[in-house]
Amino acid sequence: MRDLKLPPSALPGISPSRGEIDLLPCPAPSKRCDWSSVGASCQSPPLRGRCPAGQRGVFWVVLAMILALLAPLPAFAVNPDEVLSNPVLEQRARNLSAQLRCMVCQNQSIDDSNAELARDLRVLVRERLTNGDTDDQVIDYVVSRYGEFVLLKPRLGAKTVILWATPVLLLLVGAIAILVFVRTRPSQRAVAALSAEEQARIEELLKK
Amino acid sequence: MIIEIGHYALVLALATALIVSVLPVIGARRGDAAMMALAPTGSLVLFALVAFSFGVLTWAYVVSDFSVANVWENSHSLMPLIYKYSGVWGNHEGSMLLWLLILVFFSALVAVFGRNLPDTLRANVLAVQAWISTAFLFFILLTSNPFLRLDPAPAEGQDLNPVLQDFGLAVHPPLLYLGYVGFSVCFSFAVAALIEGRIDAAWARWVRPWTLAAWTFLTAGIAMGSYWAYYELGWGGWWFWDPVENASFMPWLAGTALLHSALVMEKREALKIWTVLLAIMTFSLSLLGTFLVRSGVLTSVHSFATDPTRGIFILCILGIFIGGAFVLFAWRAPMLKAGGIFAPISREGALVLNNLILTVATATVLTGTLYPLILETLTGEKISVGAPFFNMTFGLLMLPLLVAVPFGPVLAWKRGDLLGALQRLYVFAGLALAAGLIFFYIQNGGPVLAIFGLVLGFWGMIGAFADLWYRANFAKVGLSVGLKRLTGLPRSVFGTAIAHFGLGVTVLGIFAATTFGTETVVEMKQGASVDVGGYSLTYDGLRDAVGPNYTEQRGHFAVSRGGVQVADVWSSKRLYTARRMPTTEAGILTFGLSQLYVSLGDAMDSGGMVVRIWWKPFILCIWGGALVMMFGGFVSLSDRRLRVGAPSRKVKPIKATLEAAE
Repeated sequence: MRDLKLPPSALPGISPSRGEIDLLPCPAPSKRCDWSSVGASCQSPPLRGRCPAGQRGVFWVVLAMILALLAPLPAFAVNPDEVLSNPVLEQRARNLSAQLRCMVCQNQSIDDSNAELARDLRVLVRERLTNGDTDDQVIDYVVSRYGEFVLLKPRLGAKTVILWATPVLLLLVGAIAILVFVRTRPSQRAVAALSAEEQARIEELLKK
Repeated sequence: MIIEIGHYALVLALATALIVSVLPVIGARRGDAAMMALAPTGSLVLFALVAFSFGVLTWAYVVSDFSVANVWENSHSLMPLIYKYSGVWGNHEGSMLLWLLILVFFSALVAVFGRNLPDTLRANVLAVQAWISTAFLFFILLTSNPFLRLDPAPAEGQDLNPVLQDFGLAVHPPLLYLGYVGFSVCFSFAVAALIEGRIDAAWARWVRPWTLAAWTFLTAGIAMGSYWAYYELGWGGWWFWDPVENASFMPWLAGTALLHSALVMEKREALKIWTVLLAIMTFSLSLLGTFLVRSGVLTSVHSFATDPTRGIFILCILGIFIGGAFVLFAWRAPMLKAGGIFAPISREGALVLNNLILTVATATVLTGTLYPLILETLTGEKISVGAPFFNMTFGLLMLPLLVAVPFGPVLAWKRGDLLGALQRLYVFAGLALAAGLIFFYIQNGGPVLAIFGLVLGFWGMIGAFADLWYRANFAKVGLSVGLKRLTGLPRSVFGTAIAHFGLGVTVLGIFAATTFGTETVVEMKQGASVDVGGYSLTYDGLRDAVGPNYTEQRGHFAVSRGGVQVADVWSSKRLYTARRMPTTEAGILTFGLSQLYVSLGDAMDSGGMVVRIWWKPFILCIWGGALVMMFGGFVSLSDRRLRVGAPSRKVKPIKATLEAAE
């Protein structure tokens, strides 16, 4: 049922992100997918596919809804005509596609999405690969066109340093805290050690 | 009229919740038994009122009363009956009412099963539960009233979203909420303990069954949701690291940590403060998940802004409860006395490692989920954090934990012996290695790194039984005595072994399905065949069919192996008539633990169909493992020591104690 653009969530009926509580057959327009920043390469939002709702507000939503009534059943992600004949290149293309976000979808890679824009990006990735680009060059090229937003795994940078550092720092801080905790506990044990008097009493008792 | 009575019952429930929120706390302070006794009675009344109100809404759905706006928006007279029932919680208002119903259900359970709790503790716990109920009753009545009427009443409803017209909706949200909201009891116990300023091993013993029950339901709920997504979506994914999934996964991770730290506290009276903190954090994450999902803030800042009342309301609830609990914690926790001491290498040490890793993992998922939102709010910069990020960070964190799991149960409390544990486990490790290699060989190879994953899975499965093996001590005492010893073990020991085994099964399924699975995308004309996973599928064309509230085109595939037809599979594309919404229904064939997954794509101009076929070996292990974990939870829950309601044990004969002392 991927046509509904959005997976049924782990919290069904709870997830506006997947359009389940909206009456619209598509997610509400998202400010995060601002078309003005995407650039001239994407003139229009895909009018069908998993994320049909455009990003230009109510007008596009209404238009998408009208068109949704007329549109044929949605397409799938990677189609046979997109597949490269070279299996190695194709595999690289698939791996790269899984890292790139469908700009008009909720949390979907272009590999999973069947939106028109995702298809364009998949074709673009394959074109660059057949032209001899390395994976990094393809990524750089796509980022230069669409911005960091397109990467599902953000690169380490000034803006993302907290994101990447959180697990590492927490692990370190936690480990140190535990070490300190364990280290300081024996000192309590030392405090609780028997006094000379008590020791003498025990020895006396043991002698009995 | 009955609708108004249902609405009125909610208002009465609010009044009751307010009473239970205040009076028992005062009673507990003053030692007034009558005031404290209000708490259990009030909680039961509260449950009855909310249950009645929920029943009224259900009734409105079942009889298709479209004069109720909520029913009109989410139901249709032609919808199958089961979806009329489940449609009650397939929308915002109804799901909040379900949330509340389960919350007061847990309060009622505490009231009934908590008879042997100290009076003050029970009064305080139920009062804290009532605070939460009050907040959510206000939320429902003021912003999300499901009982609003339409005048004039429309003749026909708008139908439930087709994605939700599935058995999954009937089971998944109630299970999930039982887990999610079940952690409220742990929260209430923690807050009540902080109010009383006293906490001990008995407290942990009371809290543990609730944690265990909530965790068990949450495990089932998440697994159910994952399987639902898998078969509904049509491209065979089963976990997407979607914010909504993360919202339910974070309480699960924290709850798992809580389960283990409560164990340390119950057995050794250590980690008291940490356990209280974890109990607060776990339910805070549940609340946070509710906020994230309900407010729409995750989807887009825009949708949050269009209906800010609900979002801001939940944000306030979130702020008050989480903030309040942490302030209370900061104020009272230092008064709690630290408990038993232990060496780094010990059962406690292993459980602390478990807690460290699970907490860091929770924090990682939390940061990953919220980071884009926060960054955009603060700087306007947009980034995405998706599956590749989570797979990498979360995966790396889980590896050491999965390696360590079998060690925990074989280490002794207080001071363990790592070398001894290694000696005990090396045979099991050898077995896991052999099993992994054999598995790899049978599957005709793949990336060599896959062996590592397979061995890890088998290690979890086989290693889970090391503790049982050594406790029974078969090697020394022989089979019959060993079995006798085994039956004498407490059920919680079996629960642990089963749950850890289930974890191993899930890990194995994840690695097997991702490394040995294949994906085939082909254009097929009628009569064409394609080979996938050792099976041959022949496409037999499309047929039209009509369902109760949809029309569909069904593609038929004959599946054969070695020239013999073994099965048929149908994969279809549906159009739900009321909403004019197209969907695809994947065709799934199960062979043992593996599945063949067939999905229809576009019709091509040439007359062919694009067909995507996946071979998913051992994919059922992923959810099967979760079911095993759930079963382990129930086994552990049936341990009589954990049954809070169980009559207290007979006092042991004094003679035995004297003997022991000598």
